[in-house]
Amino acid sequence: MLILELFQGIYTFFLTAPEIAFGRLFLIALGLLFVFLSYKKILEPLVMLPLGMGMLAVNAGLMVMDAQTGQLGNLFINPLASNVEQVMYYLQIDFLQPIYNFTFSNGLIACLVFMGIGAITDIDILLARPYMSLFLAICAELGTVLTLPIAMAMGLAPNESAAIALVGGADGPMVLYGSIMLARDLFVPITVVAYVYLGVIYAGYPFLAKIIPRRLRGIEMDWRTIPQVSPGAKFTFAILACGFLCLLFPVAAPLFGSFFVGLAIKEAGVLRFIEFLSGPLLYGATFFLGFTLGALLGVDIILNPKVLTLLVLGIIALTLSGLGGITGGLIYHKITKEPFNPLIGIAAVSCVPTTAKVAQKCAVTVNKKAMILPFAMGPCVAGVITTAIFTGIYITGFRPEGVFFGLFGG
Amino acid sequence: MVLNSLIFALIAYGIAMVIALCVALTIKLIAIVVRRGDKLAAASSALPES
Repeated sequence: MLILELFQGIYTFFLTAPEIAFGRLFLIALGLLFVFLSYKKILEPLVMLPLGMGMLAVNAGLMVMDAQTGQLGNLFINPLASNVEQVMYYLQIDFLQPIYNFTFSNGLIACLVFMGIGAITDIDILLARPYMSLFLAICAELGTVLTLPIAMAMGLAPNESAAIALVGGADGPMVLYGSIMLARDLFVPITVVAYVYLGVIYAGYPFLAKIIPRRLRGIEMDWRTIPQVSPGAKFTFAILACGFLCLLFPVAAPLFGSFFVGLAIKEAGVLRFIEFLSGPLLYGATFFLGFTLGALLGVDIILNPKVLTLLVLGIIALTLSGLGGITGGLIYHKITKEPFNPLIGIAAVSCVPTTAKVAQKCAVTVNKKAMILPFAMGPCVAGVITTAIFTGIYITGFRPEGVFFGLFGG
Repeated sequence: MVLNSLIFALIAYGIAMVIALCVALTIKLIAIVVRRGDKLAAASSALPES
């Protein structure tokens, strides 16, 4: 046993209760699975690879922190550090503690990712076809709307229900920001559920798309009919939309501000900033988001009985949003005079640009000449805006000090 | 409580629809203003220099 004490990752398996030891083993295996699936590009490697590595390392690297009291811990993060003295102590001990305290606790990491997303987002189709884009995006928020009462019926608190309902918007940084603001205790499992499901959307949504009749899935659309949008119009839109949405929802203003500043910089053509936002900032923030989330996924997370409910609700939210998008696509196909492929509705679930690629993939499998990707990008970007609107409404209404929290017995 | 949350969710849906419509109208308005600005610029550049 004395020799075993030298290898504390193994030694601590014998010091903890069996359920904790098995929980650690499960999370190590899950981390390895995420790494493997990311390597095979089945899951999104940009987030899931560092997340899997973080899970693996933090659950393997449990050690005795205090020999006197037998307190166990790791040298990654202590999310429970609350008072100033504890925070100052762990900032000097745990290497990811500064990232957690200075970028996760206040939602900065989500805002950094959003700045980068803004700097790479193409809003041409959104501006050329605003009614089509925003109509489909609103339809594809069905999961965000209906998951809220479903979650409450399943026993979650109002703020927790609102946080998991945001998974229906299919936007990782938005789910992270919303769950930090709404249900800080559950933000790790909710965000991980969101990222895992968003990773498998590419494989899952084509099955959902088969609801649309085959002849409609193969409809060709002429992308040359899309009118040109001037850079001035795009720049003006970024500024006006930012001001308008911040005015409506100050609680989500950091998200709106971050997204639209990225967009404004892109449309203004400030090359140095575009390179910085879309390269080092976006990918640096995404890397630390994934790795820190993984390091936060300790055994206490999976022993929380609410996690199973969150897993079920995550699937419900994304399925309903997909169905809403498809329904929107079918309705738009009926009401428009131009040829319109209803698969574009699925792109409105946001998750830029994955759902647009899914729509294109499904169209091509039926008709090789069907080129719908340029059209699908409009609803896809509009989905980011509508999800941000819902995030604003839910945070305003459901955070513990929000206007509606008391009405729902929170 | 569940019924209340369903009503709230539907109201939120309605609010989001109105805001999305406002965003779409803003886009149309910008397009009109920019097009008019372009026309004016084209017209002024077509005038003979004095």
